[in-house]
Amino acid sequence: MIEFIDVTKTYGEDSAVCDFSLIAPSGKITVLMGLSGSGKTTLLRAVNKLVQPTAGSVLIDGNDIADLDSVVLRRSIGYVMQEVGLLPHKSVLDNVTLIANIAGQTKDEALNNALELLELVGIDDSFHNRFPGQLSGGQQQRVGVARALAIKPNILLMDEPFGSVDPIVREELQDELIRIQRQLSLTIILVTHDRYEAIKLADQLVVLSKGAKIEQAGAPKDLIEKPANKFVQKLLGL
Amino acid sequence: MFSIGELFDWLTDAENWTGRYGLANLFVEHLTLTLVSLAIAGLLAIPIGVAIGQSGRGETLVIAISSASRAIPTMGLMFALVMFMGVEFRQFAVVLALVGIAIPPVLAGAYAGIKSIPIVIREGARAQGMTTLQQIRHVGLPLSASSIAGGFKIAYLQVVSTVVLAPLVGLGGLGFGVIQGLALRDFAQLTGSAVVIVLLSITGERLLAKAQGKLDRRLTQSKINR
Amino acid sequence: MEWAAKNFDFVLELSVTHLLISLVPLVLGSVLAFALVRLTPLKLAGTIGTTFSAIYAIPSLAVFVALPAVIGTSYLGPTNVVIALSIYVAAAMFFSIRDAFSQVSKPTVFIARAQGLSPLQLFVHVELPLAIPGLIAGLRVAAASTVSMASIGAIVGVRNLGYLFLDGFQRKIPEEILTGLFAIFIIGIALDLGLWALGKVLTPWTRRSAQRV
Repeated sequence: MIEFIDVTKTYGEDSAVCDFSLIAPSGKITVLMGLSGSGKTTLLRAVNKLVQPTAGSVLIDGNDIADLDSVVLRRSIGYVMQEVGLLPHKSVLDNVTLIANIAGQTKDEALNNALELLELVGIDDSFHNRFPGQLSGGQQQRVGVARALAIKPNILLMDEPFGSVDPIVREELQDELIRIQRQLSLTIILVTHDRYEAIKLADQLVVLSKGAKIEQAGAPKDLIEKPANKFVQKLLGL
Repeated sequence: MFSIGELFDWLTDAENWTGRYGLANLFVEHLTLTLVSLAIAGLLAIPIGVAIGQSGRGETLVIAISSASRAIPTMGLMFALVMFMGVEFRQFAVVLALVGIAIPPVLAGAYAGIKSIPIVIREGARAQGMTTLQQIRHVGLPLSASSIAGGFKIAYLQVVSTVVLAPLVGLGGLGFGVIQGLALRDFAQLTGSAVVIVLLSITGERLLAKAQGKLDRRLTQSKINR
Repeated sequence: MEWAAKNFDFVLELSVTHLLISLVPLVLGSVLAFALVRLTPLKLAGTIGTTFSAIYAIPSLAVFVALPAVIGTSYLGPTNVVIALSIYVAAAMFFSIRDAFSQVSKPTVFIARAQGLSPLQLFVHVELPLAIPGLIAGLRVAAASTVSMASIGAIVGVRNLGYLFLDGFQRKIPEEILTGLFAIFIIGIALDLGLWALGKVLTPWTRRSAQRV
């Protein structure tokens, strides 16, 4: 369970996030949806200390992350983003094993784990020794997901993960994400501005306006049936 | 050996500034050789660079010239040309060597300047019905001016530093005091001349960098106004 | 060709000196530049950059003879020339190293950090390998100009290939000058090819066969 308590983040005069409180339950997908400038990425990055909140705290299973070493914390949380950011100088397989090796898994453990994960995300064996530059955008993001899972995290943070792949591939990847999440019972926080993606993936859908103000949160079905206000209505395209 | 005081005395002694081998005359010689060579190089290299950039033909030539030129020692080039053309034509030979040294960077600057103009702007000019010459005059040259200035800056530095060696083949220039100072172990003359050389090269480099920056700014401003 | 053949051993000896007097500054200067890029605080980086571009503007002979006055080395001999050339290399490499690292793809570094790589691991596994193409390109330029500039060291008493220019001119032996030109050209090209090949070996992911078809 990830708990945001009165999280505030200001950059100079601007507050990207203002007094944000939310619980992302374990084993569920929480989707943060909003326009650009709604502070959704800032919230995501507060979970693995890529961003330090100006005030408030983030708790993981009851432990305040402020007390945890940031490097150790990051090695227990998977992170996936739109630009993927695979290491262009390492093979697909090495991209997945590198962080696991660094995080202290034995070579065999990391390798077996990586082989399993690449199969899980649907990357064929023949791609294992290629460089990321030889993969399509969709394939790269599959590897990106496998890499994020290599450290066997319970939590996965995803920042517009499928934003730059073709619509058809995006659908495929979304379906597989749901399958993987159920199989590994991951706690996922996913940030998106795509309403179809939000409705499709969310167990809990959180609609944010400027300053990460929660306009409405709940099951997608409830939001569609009873939108709290015009903003939610508009953002969900109702 | 010698002190800052001696250096100061040498530099402020009027006698060291006047006469055939006085600093004033050597300075003028140094600057003249440099500017003449740069001007000739510009007249030759800018049109060729622009033409290659505009037509897209001969690009490998530009790359080959600029990488090969880096591997040729300027000192050897100057000595060889004076030797082969004969000592009586040394002035001509040195200018020829300096032009040869200045051409590659100016050529590369002109070529890169044209190449860096966005395709849409070049296509736009053509679509409006500009002739090739009009495209070069109204689009190519103004937009690549800062890159050409950058090429001249590199050329200037290489030419100024090669002219320092000109006294070795019997010409003048500020290198005279260095060469003579080394031979006569006159460390005040040696260091004093070096100081003037440093001032000449750094001032010129700063001026050309400023010009380059100004042309760059003019470019960005004109973009905003549109 | 007759002159070159007759004096082959001498030319070889000069070539070895020439190569050494170019390689040592290349290594020293690069290390110095690297340390400056990585260790100086942002505030000072601008000042160092301006200083280096000014130093780079000074003709080498002027540096060779001004250095003894500044740091007290001997006017003649290799130490002085090696130090001066190292400063030139550092001045050139400061900018190439800075650019090589700043051109490393930001998302790649970001995600590696998000995954919990420590700063040292980030450097070893991500930043350094990805900066290699830029570093090699910078070294190739620095190597070419150092080999060429080293010949001027002959004027202040370093017995390298530049000596052939001075001696050949004085004794009016055109072949000697040409031999010098040719030998320096060959050393420059050899170093350049060596660095190019090193770059290719170190960056297999940039090869054309490794690109998407």
